[in-house]
Amino acid sequence: MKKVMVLISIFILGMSTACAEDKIYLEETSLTLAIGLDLDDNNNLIVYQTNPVFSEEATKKVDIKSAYNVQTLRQAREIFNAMSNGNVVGGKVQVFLFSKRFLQEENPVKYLDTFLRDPKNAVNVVMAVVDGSVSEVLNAKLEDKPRIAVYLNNLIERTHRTESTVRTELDDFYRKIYDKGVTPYMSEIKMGETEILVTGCALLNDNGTYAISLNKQETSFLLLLQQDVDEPVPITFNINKGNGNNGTISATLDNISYKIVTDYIEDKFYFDFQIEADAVLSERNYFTNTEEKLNQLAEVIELRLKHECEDLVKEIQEYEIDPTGLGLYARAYKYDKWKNAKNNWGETFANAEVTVTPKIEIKSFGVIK
Amino acid sequence: MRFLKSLVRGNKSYKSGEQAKEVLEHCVSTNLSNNLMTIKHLFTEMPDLVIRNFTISQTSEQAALVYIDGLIDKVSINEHILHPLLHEYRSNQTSSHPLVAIGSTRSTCSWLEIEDALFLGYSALFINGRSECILCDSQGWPQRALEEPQTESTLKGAHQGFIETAKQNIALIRRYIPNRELKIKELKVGKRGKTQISILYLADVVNPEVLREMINRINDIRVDAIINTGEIEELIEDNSFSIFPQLLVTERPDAVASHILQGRIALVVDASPGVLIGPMTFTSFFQTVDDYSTRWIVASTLRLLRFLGLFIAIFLPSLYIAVITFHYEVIPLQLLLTLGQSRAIVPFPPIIEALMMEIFLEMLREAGLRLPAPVGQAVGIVGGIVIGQAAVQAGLVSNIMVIVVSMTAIASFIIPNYDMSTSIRLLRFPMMVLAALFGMVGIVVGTMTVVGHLLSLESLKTPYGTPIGPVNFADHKDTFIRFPMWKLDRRPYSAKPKQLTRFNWDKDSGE
Repeated sequence: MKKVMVLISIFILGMSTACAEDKIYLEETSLTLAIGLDLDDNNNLIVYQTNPVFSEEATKKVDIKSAYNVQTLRQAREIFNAMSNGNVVGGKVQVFLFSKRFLQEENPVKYLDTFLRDPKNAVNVVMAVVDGSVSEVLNAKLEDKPRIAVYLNNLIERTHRTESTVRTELDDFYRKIYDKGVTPYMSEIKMGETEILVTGCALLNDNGTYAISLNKQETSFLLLLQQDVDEPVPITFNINKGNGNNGTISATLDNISYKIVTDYIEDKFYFDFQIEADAVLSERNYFTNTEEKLNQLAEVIELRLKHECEDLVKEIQEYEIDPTGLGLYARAYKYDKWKNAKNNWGETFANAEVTVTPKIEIKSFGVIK
Repeated sequence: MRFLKSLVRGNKSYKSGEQAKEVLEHCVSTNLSNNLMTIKHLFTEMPDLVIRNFTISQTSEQAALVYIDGLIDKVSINEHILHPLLHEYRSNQTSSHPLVAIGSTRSTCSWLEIEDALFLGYSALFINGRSECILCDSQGWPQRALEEPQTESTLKGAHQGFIETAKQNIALIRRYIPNRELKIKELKVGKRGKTQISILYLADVVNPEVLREMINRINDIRVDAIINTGEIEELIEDNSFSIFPQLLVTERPDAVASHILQGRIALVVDASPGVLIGPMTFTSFFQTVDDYSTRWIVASTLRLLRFLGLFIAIFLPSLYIAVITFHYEVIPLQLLLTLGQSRAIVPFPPIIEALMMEIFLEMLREAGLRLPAPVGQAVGIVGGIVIGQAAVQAGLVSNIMVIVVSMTAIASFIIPNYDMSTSIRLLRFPMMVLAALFGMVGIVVGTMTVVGHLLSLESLKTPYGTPIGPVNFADHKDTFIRFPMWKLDRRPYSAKPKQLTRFNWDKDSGE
């Protein structure tokens, strides 16, 4: 009898908990899949969101809404709620889009706070900069593509796989914001004539504002320096031989191994990337008549790789940012020096000397001679 | 009153008190007609009682043969009892024992014993001048042929199943274990039914504590009659409030033999084809005889499939409800969009939708079970429409729900034991309610409760959760994975057998 009473009281207590109020039926949600942040002509914030429409009676399958005159995403959510069929939820956001202008004017970090504060919100959101207006991208009529948010996510993922753009997710972005030794970056996309294009990546200042854009090839080198390569890295060089014998060769780098020498000499940091990689010649559009010239190819690639990477680093250094994460090496190997420099690492890094010493071994020239 | 009494009991009857007195206190008298009178008084209103008076040709004594028609074998009575007594004469007959061509006979003078024996199909021979009665084993009642049990059919095992006669069933078991250590203890249960219960065990393997527990529990039973093995199971199991079966009821002699060899105890109940086996563990309900006759890799995969089926049958509908009621964010986006589209047409919350479908599924299953095959087919077709495309098209349930329900059904049918499968199917209902109220937290709490209960459960005072908890690594050789036969050299510890070694591969011990 006592047992039964205990069971009944547990049941009643269970029933009367407030748990059930968390209930949110899937079909009654308005799943936000993409969020866009942009500025209008008067530099006022515009928030865009897209959500799928589940109802069979609705003729349009995607709903794109915009909120004006808001300060935060939460405020925007209230506005979206007021015009939605369901409860606006952020658990499945696929992509965050920022216009370049927005990032030039505003610090994005303060707008993203709610996404890390509420555990129901997604943190694996892909972040991208739009070169142009966000609404243009979100409203793109892509009839042969899946819904825009899913497509953008796939597009960036796919391009990242071919090592042509970075892939920054929200949690990673935050880490880079808070880590003094590395600055954040995002993929960059652009509305082309008919298609959405990935143009490379945008490097951001340590507070998240826009600094500089890199094209796809530069992005590959950046990824190479970041040691963020899983797939073979495609590289293409113009070979100028001086005697009018110009041409282009393409190769892919694989089995890349790194050694980064960190040092502090004469008041500045010194980094040496020692990159060992196998290369496969994938294309060349000029002819060499002797075989030994092919054997010199490794040296040619090494040289070009060194120049390209070092040029890239110099370009980055001008903006006093460090997307390569060398600050982490400084912290790990030269902590006492890092300690003094950590609060203005960008500046310190700008003065640092970075060299790249690639060592390439050509594994294959392909199946034809 | 008196009239009513005679209406019920017949005119010549004793009162019930006198009956008891007669049976308990008096003995068979030397006077044949007195004895017959007693019989007529005891067995009133029983037209199937046959009393045949005759004179024994050998000794010219007056005698009577009493039996109950229908429980006896007419051939034995006519050819082997009456014929020799009536016609045969042997000059060198010296024994006072009458000439009866029956294997098993015994003499008694107790009316109680005579009464019991008559109802068991014995025939009683009363001879004038002797204060005893000779009981001849002339049993022979209608019984069906050996068939393969419907709920436990097998692909490669034996195709014999138990029938409703305990003697036959025991014989079937003995065919598998021709060993003098296979002992049988006979008990009678039920004041009126006096059901014969035989406890079978291997004397040198079984744990005496467990055996004593079993015997004690059976002796403690106070009931009118035992109609079926299931009743006795409920009367002796450790926890009647548990949803899980703690003892196994099987109709397969090979299964029983294999369990007895593992040190378990089998209970053969007369007039019931189900044989009760204990002590059992939770995991042993997921094993079949076929596991040992298929290749061990295949058998192991099938076993793992069954455990997967167990989880699907319990959790799939509740997980589905929890996820689309509380935790949409754990579903991959593409699936989520599909789910959303399929849910959008449904006017009910997921729990109502799920309960509706699951209840109809259970009804369909139960309906199909008892109906004759042609009607059963019709039920299947109608059910297929109800729990199928038509319901989806009508906008009552979502596509995904239909898939979830069907998968649950399939998963629950893979569990080989009917009792366990029904229990598992029932468990998903509380889980669904918990999921609808508290989401994943509810499912976790529900699971913890069930697991805790499973671990605390006992079967004949041996742990039910072993070898998972209490952990026993040796028994894991034959739990989720069936190791090759030559690796299974130990009897499972779960039944706590006295003799653990099943065989010794290196040197045959000759046990």
